Amino acid sequence: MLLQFVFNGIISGSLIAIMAIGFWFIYRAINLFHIAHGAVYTVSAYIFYSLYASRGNPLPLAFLLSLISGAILGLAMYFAVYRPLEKKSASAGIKFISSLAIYIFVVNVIALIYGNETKIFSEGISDSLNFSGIILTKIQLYQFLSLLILFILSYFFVQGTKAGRAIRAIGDNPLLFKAIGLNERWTKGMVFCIGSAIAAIASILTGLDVGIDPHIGMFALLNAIVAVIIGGVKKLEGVVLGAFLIGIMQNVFIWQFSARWESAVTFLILVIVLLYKSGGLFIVRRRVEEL
Amino acid sequence: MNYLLHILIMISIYTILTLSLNLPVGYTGLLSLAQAAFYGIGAYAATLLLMKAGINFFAALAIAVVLSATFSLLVSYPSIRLKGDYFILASLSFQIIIFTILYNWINLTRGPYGIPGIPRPEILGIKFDDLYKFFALSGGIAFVILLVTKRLYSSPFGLVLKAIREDELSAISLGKNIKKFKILAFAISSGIAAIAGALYSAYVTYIDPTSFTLDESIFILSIVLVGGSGNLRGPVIGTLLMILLPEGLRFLGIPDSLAPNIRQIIYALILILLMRFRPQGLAGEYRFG
Repeated sequence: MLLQFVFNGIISGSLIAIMAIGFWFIYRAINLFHIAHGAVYTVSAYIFYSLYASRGNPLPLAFLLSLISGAILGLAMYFAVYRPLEKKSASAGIKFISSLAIYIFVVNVIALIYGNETKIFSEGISDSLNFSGIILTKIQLYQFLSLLILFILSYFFVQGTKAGRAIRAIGDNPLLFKAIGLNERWTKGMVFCIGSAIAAIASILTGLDVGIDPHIGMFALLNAIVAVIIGGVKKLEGVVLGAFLIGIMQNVFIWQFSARWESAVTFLILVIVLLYKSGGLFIVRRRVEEL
Repeated sequence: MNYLLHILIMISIYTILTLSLNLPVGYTGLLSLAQAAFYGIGAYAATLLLMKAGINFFAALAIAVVLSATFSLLVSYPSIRLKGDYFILASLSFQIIIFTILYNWINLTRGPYGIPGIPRPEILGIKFDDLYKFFALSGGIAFVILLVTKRLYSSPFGLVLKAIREDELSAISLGKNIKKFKILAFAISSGIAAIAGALYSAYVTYIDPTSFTLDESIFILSIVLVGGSGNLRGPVIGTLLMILLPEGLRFLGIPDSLAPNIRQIIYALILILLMRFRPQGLAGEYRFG
């Protein structure tokens, strides 16, 4: 029994991790609490719903188009709202509130267009696989595999490529980044494209499994933020570990007690980590020379 | 006339709420997303004391205020250690945890079923059972709180809070005990929010946890930000605008099914534009750094 719940935890942790990786790209580069990331998540899922479930386009095409629209939306948010605020060197609080307001705006537009009720992508129960007693549905397997691929790609992108190093550089020292003449606007735009497209992946994979409603974005986003913070902001591995930790913990907790207290426990852990281990759980303290 | 009185009562309740949030936001510079939690603690504590322990409304109110102020330690303690986004996140966590407790501790709060049939307040033989009397009560309390906060804002206490907001290090170097001031600011703030909660429960005579959600916290914060914070005018103007705006929309003939979404869209747009062009809000003083 325990094993089944741990597996469920790994699956839901994978979804959290995908969302968290997207959030992480943006947070790592520009230190912005992009609440509206949750809105990108919601919108991409609805675009996918329109293209795939109601218009009947082939899945890969709908998937690709949703990713692109997610990226465009994220990019638009950056250039329409955040960039002007950056130019005025607005405080973190102002950016946070603006971001929250974009979220509220977008989600309510979606609710106006599609209504508040849950939309299901496909009828029927998906095939399930039985690994010696542990039951997984096919879509859950895809969710896990997507995370695996995404993590490997992101990891090598961030560690091994010039663009990836630029993301880390701009996050570590934005002033120096500009001073040595690197293109700040391009890097930030890229981060929003990548992060938002990843949010689209997370929401489509969730939608295929359980369907969508206009308010799912906030829940997904908050879980992702918790993962990023308890995993430690600096490293991608930490973020994924943090996501698995939350996923497994939530599921084991549901098994032992009940689902009703799940979010209370998640946020309790967040507060404790914020207060006593603000660098995240998986960050090893190093000597200055090693950094 | 009843409609008008209803709006006036809601305005007085929200004035109390926004004045309470003005203290941490506009004076100490801490954006808190936990105000609806204190509002809810006040509402539930007063209601339960009134209905289960049979205490008079005003005594229950006083106990609710003390209780809510005690709970505020859970938010003020993080505020000492955390800044900016991290504090907002900590206050948001508190909000979600309190909501989860109100929703799931069914033995105490009846959870999603809510508590119906809350009696109207009564003191010295006066029962505030019609709208006129209730407005006299809520408006009166709002006015008293207005006077108290006015006095508070211009007192040395208010000035130290402003100093913390503008430059925490300077305030420390002047020998001010920042921890104490932050704790006090939050205690007063959540105590006042509890008054609003008790009034709300007695007015509506029914409460359930959905009145005290994260969305409600966001709404209260939006009022303070739209009106502006750091002085008395800002929150009051914000409350008038944000409570009257949906009523105005109603007269435009927008169908009821769409109205909540359209209202939210308008609030969000106002907020985005203000943050960009006028971060101090319509009539506020503090510009958030």
